[in-house]
Amino acid sequence: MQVSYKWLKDYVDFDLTPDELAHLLTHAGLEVETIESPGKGLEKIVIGVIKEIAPHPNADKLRVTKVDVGHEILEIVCGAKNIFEGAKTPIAQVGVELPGGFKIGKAKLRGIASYGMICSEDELGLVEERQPGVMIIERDCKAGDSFVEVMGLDDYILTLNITPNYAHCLSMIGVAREVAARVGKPLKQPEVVVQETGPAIEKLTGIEIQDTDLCPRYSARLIRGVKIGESPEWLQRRLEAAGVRPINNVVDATNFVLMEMGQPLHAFDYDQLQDGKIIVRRACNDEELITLDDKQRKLDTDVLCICDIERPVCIAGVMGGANSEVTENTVNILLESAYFNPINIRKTARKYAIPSEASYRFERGVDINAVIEAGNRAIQLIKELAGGEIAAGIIDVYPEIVDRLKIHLRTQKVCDLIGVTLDRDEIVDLLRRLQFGVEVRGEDMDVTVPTFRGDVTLEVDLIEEVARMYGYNNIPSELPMADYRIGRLTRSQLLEDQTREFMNSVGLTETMSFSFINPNSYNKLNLNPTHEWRNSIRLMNPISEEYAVMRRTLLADILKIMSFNAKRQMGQIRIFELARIYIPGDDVLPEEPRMLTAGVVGLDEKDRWNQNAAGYFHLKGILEAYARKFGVGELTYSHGEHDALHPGRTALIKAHGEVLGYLGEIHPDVMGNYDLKERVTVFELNFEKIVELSDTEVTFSDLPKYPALTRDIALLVDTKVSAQDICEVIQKIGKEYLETVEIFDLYQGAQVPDGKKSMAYAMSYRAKDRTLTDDEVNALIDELLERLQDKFGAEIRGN
Amino acid sequence: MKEKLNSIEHEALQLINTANDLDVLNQLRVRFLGKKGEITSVLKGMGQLSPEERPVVGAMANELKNRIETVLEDRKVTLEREAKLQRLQKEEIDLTLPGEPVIYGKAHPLTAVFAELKRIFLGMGFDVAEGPEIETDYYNFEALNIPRWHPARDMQDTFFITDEVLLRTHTSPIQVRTMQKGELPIRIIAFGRVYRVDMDATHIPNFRQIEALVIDKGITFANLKETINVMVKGIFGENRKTRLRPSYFPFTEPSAEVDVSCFVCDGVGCRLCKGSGWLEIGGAGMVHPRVLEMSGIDSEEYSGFAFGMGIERIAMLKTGINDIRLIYENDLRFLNQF
Ligand SMILES: [Zn+2]
Repeated sequence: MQVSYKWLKDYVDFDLTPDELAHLLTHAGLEVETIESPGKGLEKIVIGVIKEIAPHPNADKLRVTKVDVGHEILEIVCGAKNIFEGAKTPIAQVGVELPGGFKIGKAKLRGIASYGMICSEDELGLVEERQPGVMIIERDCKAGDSFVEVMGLDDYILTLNITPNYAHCLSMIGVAREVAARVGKPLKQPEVVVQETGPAIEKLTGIEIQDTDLCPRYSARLIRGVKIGESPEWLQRRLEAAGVRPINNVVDATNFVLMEMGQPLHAFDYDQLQDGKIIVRRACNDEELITLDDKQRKLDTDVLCICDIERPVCIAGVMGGANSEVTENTVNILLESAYFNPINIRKTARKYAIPSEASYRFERGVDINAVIEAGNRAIQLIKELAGGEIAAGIIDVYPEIVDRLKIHLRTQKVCDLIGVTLDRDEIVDLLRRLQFGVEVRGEDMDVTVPTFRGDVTLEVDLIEEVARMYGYNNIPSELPMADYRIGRLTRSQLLEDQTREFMNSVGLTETMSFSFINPNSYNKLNLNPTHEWRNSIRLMNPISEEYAVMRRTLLADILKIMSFNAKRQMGQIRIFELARIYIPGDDVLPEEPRMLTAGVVGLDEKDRWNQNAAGYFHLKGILEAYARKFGVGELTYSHGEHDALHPGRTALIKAHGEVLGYLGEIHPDVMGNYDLKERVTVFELNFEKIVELSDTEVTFSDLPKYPALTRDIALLVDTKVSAQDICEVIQKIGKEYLETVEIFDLYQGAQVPDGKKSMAYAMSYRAKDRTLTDDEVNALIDELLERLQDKFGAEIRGN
Repeated sequence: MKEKLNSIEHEALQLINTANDLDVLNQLRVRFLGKKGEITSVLKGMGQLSPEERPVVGAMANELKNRIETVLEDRKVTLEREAKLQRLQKEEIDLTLPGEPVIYGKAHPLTAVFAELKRIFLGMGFDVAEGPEIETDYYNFEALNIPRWHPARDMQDTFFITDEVLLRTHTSPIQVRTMQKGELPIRIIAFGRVYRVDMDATHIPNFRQIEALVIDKGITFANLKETINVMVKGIFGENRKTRLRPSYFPFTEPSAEVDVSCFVCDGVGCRLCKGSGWLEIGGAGMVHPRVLEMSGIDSEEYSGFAFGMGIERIAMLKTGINDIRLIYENDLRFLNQF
């Protein structure tokens, strides 16, 4: 809502600068977003009266003028064709800077000195488009007058951000009321005397409300014999200050009252109303109406319409119909001032997507008891602007009178909630300044709420009014009293924090992406058509297809981010994200488990096993350390299948027999889809499972008392046999004596037959209660080698 | 023989003290003290002496042996020390060469800000509560005193999944879920992703909020002010001032916007604060009695306050990030700055 500083002074006599006014309003809860002055930068422009015009001796297109600027006559060379002797024009004298940054200097134009410039509207920054001539001022003024004052540009426009509860501040008087309450000055409301010179209104029209639930009050005034024309300057200026485009004197008068009092009004061309009658009713399903914006609207029974005896002529509170519009030919006018059901107006405005100043106010609730006053103000204004005779009386259909609400307010409750000691009389004073009626009842009071304050319905609403008037800044600050305790994180919250820190410490940078993705991401991941991820929750109103479904994997984003950064010459990329995914199910709300997903690319291609899979072993090392640190249990890796991953390089990860997720290289086809050139390795784990399995309670175990014996073995096995297969056998045979086992060499190539590989393991054996003998360990090793030969056909190369 | 011994002494001491390496020193030891050494050979000639002279010369020879031994030892220590010093000097390195690179990842700026806020609130006795991001209309709106068709719904443009299910527009449904558990008093912070249909230079459709909720007997607006004060000083520094100004949220009454004094100009007015001297950081208020009642809490017995902020906003103010889109673009050149 735009508030003109000058206009506001019509209603309250305040002595504040625009900045001080903004501060006051902001602390009243009316946040001021901007303060703008339309005359800013034009303060030095003066009115000049052209006294003489002579031809330029050296140029056909230029003329030499003598301009009176008050205290002197200036010679100015001008090229405009529309100047004439006696014209009043804006003059920029030597030394003045125009809003565009152009500074006027003494200039010689084709040999003749010029001491200033006669300006056009575009040169003054008042309009965008280039003007054919200079600005001719037709207002009452004299040479040397301030241009901004003459033009009424010496104003400040405050743009307020009005919250939905402050409907009463959607008008100049509403804002003035808040100012008046704070500066302690009276509110000056316009006095209206309606000059009724016509016949009784009942003889000319009649009103019937069929749906009083949607229209609790409807009033009408009538004026005959108006002359439609342009509004006077003062009115146009007021409307422009409020951000409303002037149309004609009748429409402008209703808009003026809308802005002044906050009551939307509608003017009908009376002669277009069949039988001159108004019926307020729900539309029928087959009815249609062409609205003022020339659009054909299909109506239905949820839409309240203003109708004549035959047809709708207006969508109530939202937009008028073209069939009853006030045009330049209109002579007789029926003026509506009514109250409509806010929710119904909101639904209708939504349905037709026509937000308007009127519907905006009806939605938030106008003052049902100010309907008549607004109608009176407007009809009198129309008469003053457009002539005509006002029919005597008002038709006012108001079947159920809305009484002012009475609320009991306890002094103690005010103090208890705000945390400040106020006595009853202070509270009474603060509320009365806001025009609440207050009757003292012992220590407490009964408060009568004016109907323009529809937002105040409970005791607590009044407490807010008291706090607002008292000033939030004057309320003390004080920590709440409570039993001393420190807050605690749940195990799951703590592990989430620790996981993030761990991943940072091993080189992974945290990324964050939106929870919604493009469903086409699943194609880019090469998922088969029936992959469960494709069953993703879809938004009804996404920003775009790019953010249309709730993701079921963080992989798509990890790859997107890698691709984005790879294109920016990032060589090595190591990233992770820990966030929720969304799995639809049978319940109303989906499951939202957290996933821990990481990706690396561009690491050195050498890994210790010469598998050309540096990323895989890098991430695997991280996962193993992570699982150990947070007691997730021993991780096992088996050949996994995943549409997005490399078929030979995909591991299904389990702990305690439960699936945690996948570790693997991105499938070359998928890399292509993301424009990635180098091998990318990722893991995606179900973080909820990790939380479930993690056990970080540590119990001390005695340090070993007896020495350990170490043994190495080297084997030749089929390439299909995995390191883990062999480990499992070593563990099984080693029983409780095996302390550690580690593969320390893997070799394929020269001296190793095709299809075979050489592997070397180091083991350490120890007994808890005695020194193991060589013989005992040798026996274990013999058994082990025998088993390895039996099970894998292993060829023993040494031990 | 005494002369002989004297001359041996003279020569030995001179040679030993000028010896420059351990090998020479060893040769001198052999020459003077060895089984075939000079002193031994002197002693071998003792037979020629008178019985009176013998013990005197014998004592002299032993004394000389000891003296040479001591000097030899001293010289050896000196030479060894010098040798070690030389060796260490040779091992000198260029101390200014760069260290071995250690690779570590960076915490996301939002995670860092949340961690800081969490420490502050845990210290004040708040627990951390969570809730679903996909919510029902009831928890996101109805239970927070925002009935359907209320104009306040315009304040939060909502992503819908069905007519009843939506992406939460704020973290406040967590308040409702916490209150409904019926365990009083309540002192929690809620944190997480929230969603609004908005995407431009200053808005992203998926952002994060943190909010605090306290419900107990005798909680006042003054308590709200001070709790915010403590939090603001904790996160933005001791010199920051807080101000509350009236505003509107359907779930609080009275309601307030929270401003913090600008840390660039300290309240004088600058570009960051658009000349006002204050930066808006969030909303706050006393929990609306209707919200308490809907969650089964007696609003005559209990009162409470709540306040919430956008984490992105806090991170931007703290670090000077000037474009909110950077936060979700995941450009490593950006992320590596934190
Ligand atoms: Zn500033």
